[in-house]
Amino acid sequence: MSHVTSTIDDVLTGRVLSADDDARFRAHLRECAACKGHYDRSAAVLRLARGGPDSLAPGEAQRMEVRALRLARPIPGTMSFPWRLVFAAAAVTAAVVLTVSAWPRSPVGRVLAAGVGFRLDGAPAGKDAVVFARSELVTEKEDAAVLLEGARGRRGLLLRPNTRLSAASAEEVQLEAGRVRVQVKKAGDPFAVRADEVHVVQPGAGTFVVERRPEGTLVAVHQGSVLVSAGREQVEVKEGQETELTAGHLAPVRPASANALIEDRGDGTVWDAILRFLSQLIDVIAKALAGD
Amino acid sequence: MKFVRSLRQRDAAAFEALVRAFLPRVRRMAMQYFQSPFEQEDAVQEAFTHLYAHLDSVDPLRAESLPGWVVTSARNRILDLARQKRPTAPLELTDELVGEEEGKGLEVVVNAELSAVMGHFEEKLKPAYRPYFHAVFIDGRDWEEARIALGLSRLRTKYLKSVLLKLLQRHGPLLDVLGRERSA
Repeated sequence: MSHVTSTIDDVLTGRVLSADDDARFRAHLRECAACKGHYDRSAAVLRLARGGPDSLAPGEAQRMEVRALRLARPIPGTMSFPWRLVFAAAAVTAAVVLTVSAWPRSPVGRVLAAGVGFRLDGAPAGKDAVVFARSELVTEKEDAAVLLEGARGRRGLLLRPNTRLSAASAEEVQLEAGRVRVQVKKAGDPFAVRADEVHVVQPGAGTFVVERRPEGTLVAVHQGSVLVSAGREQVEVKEGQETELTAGHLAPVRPASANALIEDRGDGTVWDAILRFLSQLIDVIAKALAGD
Repeated sequence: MKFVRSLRQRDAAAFEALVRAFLPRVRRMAMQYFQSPFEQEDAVQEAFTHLYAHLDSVDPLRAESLPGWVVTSARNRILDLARQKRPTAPLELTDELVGEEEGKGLEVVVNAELSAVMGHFEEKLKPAYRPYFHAVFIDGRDWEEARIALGLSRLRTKYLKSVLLKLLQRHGPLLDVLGRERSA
């Protein structure tokens, strides 16, 4: 069984597991020193935050009560042989269907700012909406700023108009259409953007954009560097450079064109008004990355 | 008398009342013998499992002996568990009330420092996070109770809980206090 860190956090913040899940969960913790250590540290931190090492952590009394009170629940009657098998099979089928269709998703970030037409998982959403793993984010005519936050790293995403993107996790997104600007202030886990055949990995801090165009996929770097791969080809794109996937091949790395980094550099002419608005969103992202 | 009879018949409501009444004392006993919060919770569960299995040994004619029976049975079970866990360590039978008094000097120091640490932590929190933090950690409400009191959605609360837990897990001054408290 793999580590159950997220379940530990859920349990400590009030999630009540079913009796069977609770038994499996606690059996795992008895065997796994890393998970037990995480449980103990987190529980101790919550107790301290409540006023002292002996204080009751929030939810602790309820957790112990629920487990103790389960002892007094009536034991369900057993069924005769064929029915038991039929119900077991039905339960397994239902569990598989439920697991596939309703697997609980963990939050991976939140919306910092969004304009008219922004949709999260198909529903209109605005500032502070929670982004879950596998959420789909769609912009229409206006930009949106999103913060993705994982255990090791924060990334600010600026979704340009007419963009469709899904957040596989806090460390990876899939760009289905449009253009996204990614900003990382402090190096953490690598961040990846997939767009068609292109796989862009940002190993450290920096800013880059990925844009899906009719003729191919563009990757341009404003700060830092990224590794871009497509099939067996891989190139490193550094500050001020761009590459593009066209006809199944990555173009050689070249200096970024005027429009490739429009959000950060502009062209000094007609874009000025738009850039002022974009710079406000970029400021929002920068503040969120700094934890303000 | 009626309560003891209900307990002997393993009536769920009676057992629930017993758990609620004795949980704080049983928890204190578990804290005396186990350092790990996980093991403390396991010990509490084992103690109540033991009590539930032996409810028929409660004397219905001596209802006044019920508290003593609960405390002694729970303590014996917890001691057995502690001995299984650490067969070589000497473990003494102590009254759990004595345990309540132990370490109070340290606790006062820790509490004063903690108050400052938590006050600073709350100040640094984003304003949007503060009401929920305050309700849970300062007012002492449960996670769900605080959600209802503040009229928050479940989705928003799930996010707030996740953020607050992560911030607390990484809060250096709090971890410093935890480290000192563990080594004390």
